[in-house]
Amino acid sequence: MPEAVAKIGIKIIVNGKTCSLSVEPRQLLVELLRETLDLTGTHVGCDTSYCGACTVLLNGKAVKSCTVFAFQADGGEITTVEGVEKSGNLHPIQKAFGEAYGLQCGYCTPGLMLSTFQLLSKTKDPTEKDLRKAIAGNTCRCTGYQNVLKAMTFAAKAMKESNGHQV
Amino acid sequence: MDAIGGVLCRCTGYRKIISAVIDAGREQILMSSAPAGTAVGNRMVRLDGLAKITGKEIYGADEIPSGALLLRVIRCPFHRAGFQFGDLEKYAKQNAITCVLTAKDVPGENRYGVIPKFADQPVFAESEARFKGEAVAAVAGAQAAVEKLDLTQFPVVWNELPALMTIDQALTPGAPQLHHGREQNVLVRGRVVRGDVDAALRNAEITAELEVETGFVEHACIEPEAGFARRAGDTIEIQACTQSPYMDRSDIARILGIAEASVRIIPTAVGGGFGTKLDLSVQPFLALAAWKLNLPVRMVYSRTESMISTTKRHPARMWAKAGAGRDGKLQALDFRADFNTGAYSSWGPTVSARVPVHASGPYFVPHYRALTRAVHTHLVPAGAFRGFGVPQMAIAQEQLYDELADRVGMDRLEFRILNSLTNDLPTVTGQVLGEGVGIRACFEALRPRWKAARKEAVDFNSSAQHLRRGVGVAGMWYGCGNTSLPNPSTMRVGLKSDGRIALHQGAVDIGQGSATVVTQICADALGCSIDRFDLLSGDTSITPDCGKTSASRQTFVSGKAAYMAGEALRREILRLVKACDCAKISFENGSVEVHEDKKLHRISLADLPIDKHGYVLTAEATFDPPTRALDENGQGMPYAVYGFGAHLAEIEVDTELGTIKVLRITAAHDVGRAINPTLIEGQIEGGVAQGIGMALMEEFFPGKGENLHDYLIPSAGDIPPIESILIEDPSSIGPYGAKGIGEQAVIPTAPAILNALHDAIGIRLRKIPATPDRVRAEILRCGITGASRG
Ligand code: FES
Ligand code: FES
Repeated sequence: MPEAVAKIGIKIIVNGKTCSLSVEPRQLLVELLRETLDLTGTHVGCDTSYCGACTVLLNGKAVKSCTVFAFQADGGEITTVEGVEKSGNLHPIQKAFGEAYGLQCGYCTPGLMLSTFQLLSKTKDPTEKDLRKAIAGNTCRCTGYQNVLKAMTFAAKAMKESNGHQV
Repeated sequence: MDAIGGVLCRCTGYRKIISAVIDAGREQILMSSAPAGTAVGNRMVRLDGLAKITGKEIYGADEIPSGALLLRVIRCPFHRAGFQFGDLEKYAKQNAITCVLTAKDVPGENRYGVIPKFADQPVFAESEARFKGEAVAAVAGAQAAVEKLDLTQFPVVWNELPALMTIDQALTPGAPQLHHGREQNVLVRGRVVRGDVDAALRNAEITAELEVETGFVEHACIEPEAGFARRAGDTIEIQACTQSPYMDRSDIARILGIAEASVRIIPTAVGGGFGTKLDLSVQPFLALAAWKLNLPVRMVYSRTESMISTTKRHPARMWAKAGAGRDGKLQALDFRADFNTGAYSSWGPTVSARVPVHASGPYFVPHYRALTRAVHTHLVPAGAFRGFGVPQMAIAQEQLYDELADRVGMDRLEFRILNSLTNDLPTVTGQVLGEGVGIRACFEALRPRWKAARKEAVDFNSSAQHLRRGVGVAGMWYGCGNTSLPNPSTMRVGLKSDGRIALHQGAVDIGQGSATVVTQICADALGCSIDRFDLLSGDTSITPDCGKTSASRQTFVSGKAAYMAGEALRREILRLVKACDCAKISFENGSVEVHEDKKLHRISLADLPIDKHGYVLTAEATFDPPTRALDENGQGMPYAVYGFGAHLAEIEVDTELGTIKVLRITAAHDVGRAINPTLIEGQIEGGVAQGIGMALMEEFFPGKGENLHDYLIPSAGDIPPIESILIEDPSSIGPYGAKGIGEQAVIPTAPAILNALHDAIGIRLRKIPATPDRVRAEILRCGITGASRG
């Protein structure tokens, strides 16, 4: 049997809910989200912190959750794709990805949306360069990024019109 | 129609739809609903989109049955090795593992393959592993115990053997033979011959010759292969990401030695497939363990495991020579290609068969010979990757035609227009298509941008120093569906007593949107709004066989079956009230109204009996596209329908660094009918991105760089604006005239870029991709400096 490893108690807020958990020191944030909290909208696509499929917001910043130990998130606030919707309504970024067809297989989409989230929470009028830079760490194999950029443009516009709604 | 941005031209016999990306002035929001009979041709939102933007979609790794064991595979660390196991029982005991599986534990046949006649891949190697990454054993047990195993300590003794790493080594007389009966390691040969190519080349006024090689290309689906299996009595259930549930079912039945009816495949959403998820990956391991232990078992490939063990695009070594008259008319093409098919057959036979049919490109070539071989080596199996060898072939053929045009002294685009295949000219297999040959229209659609871009490049180069711009064009044709083989899809559609429609569609949507397209087609054929449809898919126990998602066949073949099923249901409804064909049907909640002249029939659905499928009316239809076998010279009718296209690439080369930046791609595709223009543009844009990767950066070296840090794929900064031009030159066979697009989109990009490279600095590389080191080396070899080329 595996030897017992001393666990670490952490307290995090995930999608608005406070969770007190005890985690192994080696556990990655993405494993905690997917396996312990069953939030499988955050995906894993590589072993080398490259693809960005695992991107979530940690204290408002887009991070690759495969690169963060769960205990490092202690005291922090995490938003995953499941927490982007507010009171049953799609967030403008989600709507934009749907309406601009910013996805095909959809595996990269949660990560792309959260990178967009971080960008638009700071930059109301992003240039094309801003858009491309914001998703430089998110790899998509299906779309060729054209409609992803379009979705980001739609989202920026919608959020500006609704005056920074929900961000 | 008004939802479609630019309907520019119908008078030339085809229709063009152009849309540019991030064009703020023309925002095309997708439609979520359309009145009955108007779904086809509209930019409908994809039906499975909501789950994907809310994170609720279930991919291969997203569900874990409670109590599931974890499975891991022990893989050969050498390109070729014999091996012997130590004490496996002791190992299992010491490590608290539930079981260790090896070839001995396969109750049925330890062999599978996508083409039954060639099936040669064992689930676990038996005495010799034939490639680095081949499975020899697996362990299953409680997650914590299995996760913590250091698999390099697994009790196996390897005996490394000399491996065949190249096509030449494999073909050398006396080389070890990988498979019995495959002399000189040749898996299969392909051949298409027409006319007298030797005489025609001897007599041609102008000839050009070219040799080029390409490497392994990795699919790099962002989702690694994953799934779980469980046993339910005498049935094995496998839930995993796959492009071909019905083929999986047959193979698993054979491996377990049970009836197909005892295998249930539940495909999850697929996080990218592109051909690699046509072959089995995790499924046989999971099935064996769950069957043996009667416990649920799951597994997720690591990225490295996925890269070393799943199929790749075939490396190709190609030679070609073409001849033309001084008038610019193509007279002959002689083409030869060897494909490195790796250790097992996978789709090697398909690649070898498809390439000779296509190597002329979309042109009329009266004298023709194309010979191919798929050759086994001790490397990872090469299989299906968007285009079955045709993208590699186009890299040779389209560069060669550029050379020929230059020697004739013709504009490279006009040369292609002059030689374009037409409705009335025979293809190299002797098929006269008679309709829907839209290649000329594709080239003509590129003409304005071609002229403007060439002028801009000349202007730029006249003052530039080390930066040089170039413009290139390439054409493409691609047969939809299997090559001269049966290829049926079956769709079932049922009318429920509440007035909703159930569409049982087994065509796996791998992201391209086929579920949406198929529903649009069925809805219009039935005459019912798409909102009324409930989709049932993704389970071999509830959907009839729709074949596999490959060969650009789902819109064309499954779409046609959906059309026929929709029409059949419509006829059933009309028959109920004995109405004529011209009657109009409207669907309400709980009832259907049939309007005929002045008569109105109201059918109350609750009054109708429920049939064996659970519906008040059910219709089922099968479509198998008409093809004819090829004779010994490859003459016949390999496909019922071809898609056509042409890309124009504008690039900038940094002659000091050898780097290439793609500035813009313009892509014209004849899709027959754009059932959903947005989804088609998505296919084009994704195809172009993969074409850019193939041209400039992607090459997998077995044994090296087995991760996404070393194996580069394009990121957002690498992809320029892409303009799509959709040409609609309809096929009378496809649903509403539609043809395929999935693979077509990737084919012309790489050759267009390579032609642009030649246009910019006058070099042609012998080895693709055109990575900076290769470009720079060739620049140095040719003594090119920015200033010296005026
Ligand atoms: S899983 Fe690829 S970056 Fe995290
Ligand atoms: S949509 Fe498939 S990886 Fe982005």
